[in-house]
Amino acid sequence: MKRALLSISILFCIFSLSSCVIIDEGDSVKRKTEAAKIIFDNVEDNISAMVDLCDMAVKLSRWIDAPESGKGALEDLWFPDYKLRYEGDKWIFRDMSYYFTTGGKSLDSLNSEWIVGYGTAQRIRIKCTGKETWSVKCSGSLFTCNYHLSDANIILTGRCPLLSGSGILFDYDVSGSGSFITNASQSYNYPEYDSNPDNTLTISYNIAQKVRFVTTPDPESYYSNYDYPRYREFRASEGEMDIEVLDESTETIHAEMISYTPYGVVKYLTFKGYREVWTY
Amino acid sequence: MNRRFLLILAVNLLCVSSLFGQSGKREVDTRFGYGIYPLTFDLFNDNFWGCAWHDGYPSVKEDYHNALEFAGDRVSSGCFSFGRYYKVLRWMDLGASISYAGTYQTIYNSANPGLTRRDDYHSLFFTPTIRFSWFNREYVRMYSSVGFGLGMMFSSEDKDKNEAGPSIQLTGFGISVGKRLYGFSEVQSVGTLGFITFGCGYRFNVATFSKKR
Repeated sequence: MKRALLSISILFCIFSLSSCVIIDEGDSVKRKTEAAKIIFDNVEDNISAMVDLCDMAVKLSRWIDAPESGKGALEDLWFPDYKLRYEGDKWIFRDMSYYFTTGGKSLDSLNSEWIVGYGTAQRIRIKCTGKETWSVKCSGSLFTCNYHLSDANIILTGRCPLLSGSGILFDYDVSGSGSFITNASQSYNYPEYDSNPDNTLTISYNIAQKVRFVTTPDPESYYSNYDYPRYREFRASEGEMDIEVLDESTETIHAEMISYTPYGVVKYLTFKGYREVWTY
Repeated sequence: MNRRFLLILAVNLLCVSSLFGQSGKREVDTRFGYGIYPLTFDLFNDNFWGCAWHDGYPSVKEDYHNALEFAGDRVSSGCFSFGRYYKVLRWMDLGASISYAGTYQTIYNSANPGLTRRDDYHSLFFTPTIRFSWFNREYVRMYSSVGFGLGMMFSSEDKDKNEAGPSIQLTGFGISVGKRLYGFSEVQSVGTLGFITFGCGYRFNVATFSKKR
């Protein structure tokens, strides 16, 4: 009887201990620099928002300077989805959140400065510092693309665009530095800035030489099948930048953009000693 | 929380012992069981059944942290239980079980997969139970049971995730085969002991306390 009980107990234990059940499948293996990609994308979006605003300001300035007979064609070319309004001392694009204060000067005049505003406090200063060269500065600004609280001091130089398409004026070489605090929440219903420090990151970037931002068709745009990109975004296509992420510890990322291809931008991201290629 | 724990424990023990006091012999049933898919508290964390609830998109910080690590499969040990039951009436047994259930998961570092940490949960339950035997023969018995008690869950990673709560086990159909040494299985079950349980046990008679007249 005792042997029987002992045998049954042993068999029971062996069977039970080998019968672990998977109740939740794990994640797929992630790439070593996947976290770096997330940070890089946010930095690219942040810089792209400023490049886009500067591009809009330059186009507006050239439209203002254009003869009356040519304004209609330029308006159709550069602002196909907006109606321009001059109210008080500001230029406003209907259905756009930003307004442009010109000070009565062309943005191609040396030392002329425009202010691009959003709401009552968010401001970006664009100043002409040379031929087709502008400095863009902001402090505590929020961009509607991601609501990250941003500071920046960058220089943009207009270059011949990589892609041919009417509606594109320049690609831009960008240099300088900036930083931003990420939005703590990205809610469907409440997209406004949330400053909960427990759920934010402080990210800073530095472009020592230059990074080329090219105008590319927005891949998510319904209208990208038109003969020119009606909705366009600026992507970092060539150059290098250093990024720092302040979390519980400080991590550094080195991004090397190689070239723009039909499949996306080929870039290398170095994170925690690992260098991996990404194309998207 | 400690006071509540002690109060529920005291009530359970009183209920169990309140039906004792008759003289004669009483059948005692001791059993070891193993249950599959026990309901444990970690299944009801914010990662409910493997889905994370979010109002919209995760924040950049959450995305960043999620990319720094990835999780392996979460494995359940099942539920190991030890129970002791007293036959108080021909059709009713009272008793309790002590059980352990664990879930185990390895978290890997994305940049260095050799660097891992554990995210394990260990649950202990004390479940007083009433069993209703609606089919009683010498070698075969069929029954249903209801158990309600208390449990504690311990996290290997974060003490803030430790929890205490109720232990519930409802069994629709159970069957035991054997006179003294028996095997049993319970199905149509839900609770901290598992959806399906099986095991073996032994029955013996003990003399009970009789009052002097």
